[in-house]
Amino acid sequence: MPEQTQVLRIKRQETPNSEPYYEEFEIPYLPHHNIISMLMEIRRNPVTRQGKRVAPVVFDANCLEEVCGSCTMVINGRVRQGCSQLAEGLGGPVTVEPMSKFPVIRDLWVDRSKMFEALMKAHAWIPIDGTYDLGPGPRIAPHVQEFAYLFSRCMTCGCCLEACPQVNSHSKFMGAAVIGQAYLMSQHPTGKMNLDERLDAMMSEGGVADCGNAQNCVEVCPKEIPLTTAIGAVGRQTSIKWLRDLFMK
Amino acid sequence: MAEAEAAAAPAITGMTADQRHWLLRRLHSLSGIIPIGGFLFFHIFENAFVLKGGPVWWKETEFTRNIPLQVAVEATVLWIPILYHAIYGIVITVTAQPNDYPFERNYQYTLQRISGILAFLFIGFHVLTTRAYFYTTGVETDYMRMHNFMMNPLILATYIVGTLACVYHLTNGIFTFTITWGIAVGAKAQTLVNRVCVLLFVVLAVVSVAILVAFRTPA
Repeated sequence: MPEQTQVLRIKRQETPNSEPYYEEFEIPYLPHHNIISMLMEIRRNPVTRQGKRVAPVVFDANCLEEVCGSCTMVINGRVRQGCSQLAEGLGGPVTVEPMSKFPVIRDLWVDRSKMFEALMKAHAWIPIDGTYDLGPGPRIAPHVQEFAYLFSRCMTCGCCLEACPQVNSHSKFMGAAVIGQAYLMSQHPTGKMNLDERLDAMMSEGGVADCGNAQNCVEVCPKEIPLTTAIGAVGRQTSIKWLRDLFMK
Repeated sequence: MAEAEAAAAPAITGMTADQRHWLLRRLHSLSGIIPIGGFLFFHIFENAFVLKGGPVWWKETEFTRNIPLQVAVEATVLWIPILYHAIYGIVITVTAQPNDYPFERNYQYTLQRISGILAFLFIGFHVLTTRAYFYTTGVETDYMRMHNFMMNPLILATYIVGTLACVYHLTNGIFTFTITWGIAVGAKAQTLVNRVCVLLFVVLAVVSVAILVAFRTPA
């Protein structure tokens, strides 16, 4: 073949409950292609390697610059964002699968609702509105701001859940992301006022106690969030709360 | 239904299902260090006297055979905590789905679960053939008995594998304990504790195997 090509082996699934299957597509090789632009290329001409015309591959994507988290998928067995995975150096065939720890809606598109439900459970926000003007919040020292910023980069993409051996269909563990966010909200002096509510969520089934310390979360996090620090810190907060409740209530 | 159960729970136990879950997890973490981990350190220490010969070992471990209320002490300090740690450990292990992400701590995670199961099987075998044997027959496990065990290649292999599993499970457990309770929080602190625990594993592994091999010396 005169022109260089790249083969994508894609795990497909037509409905949330149907059986998954693999299909192979061959597209012209471009070193600056990324997985999403390759999927777009396939969408223009959805014909498999065997020459069969099929429905275009469904995928979720938005920002195309690794800040929204929506195109998280498993590429050659490793979870990451499709948009930041360049074709160059990938070789082939490239296996592209949806995340396995979330319900598949169709093809590579998964439902990450459980992560957002976990954020709600953990009260991962700072209430600033009241029925009257609450006035300006307390000032925050720059080093606290800088530390909190690390955790604020979370895009709820799901990499930490996908790589976690404790997150699966037979466990209730909510994963590292929500622990990082609960910890972030408690860095803020106003957010600290709801610390007890957050710790109650962290001490519930599926909370921080269900962590198995495999620490894959911090390794795969595309935003390099110190998730294991959050786990250790929330572990400390819950230890203190438990002892305080035990001896002072 | 589940909500009704959760609401009814405090009336009986004074705890919600969530609080009970948290307490069981933390008790699992704590029991692995105190008393089980503490005992394993002591057990290796007392048996290390065999490196100075069988008679020294028998003399120095004399007090362990003369503990007041021996059965009650053994049950409280050893059997109940070990049974709890093992049974709840299996409950935790069945919620795991180990994967092949190539990170050192991921391997440690998988090894922690394998070594836990091996340790449980080995401790069961060890206690049945030593303490339970004593309580049923009145025969103490003296030097000759241990010597005969260690001369049997199959039993020696079982002891080496079982002891290494126990020692690995404890040293890696010390590392995860410091994260669970919030002692080692930062990445640097966690890495330091991890390195120290790996070193501790190597030291305890060498000493444990040396003890087992020392029992092969003819009396």
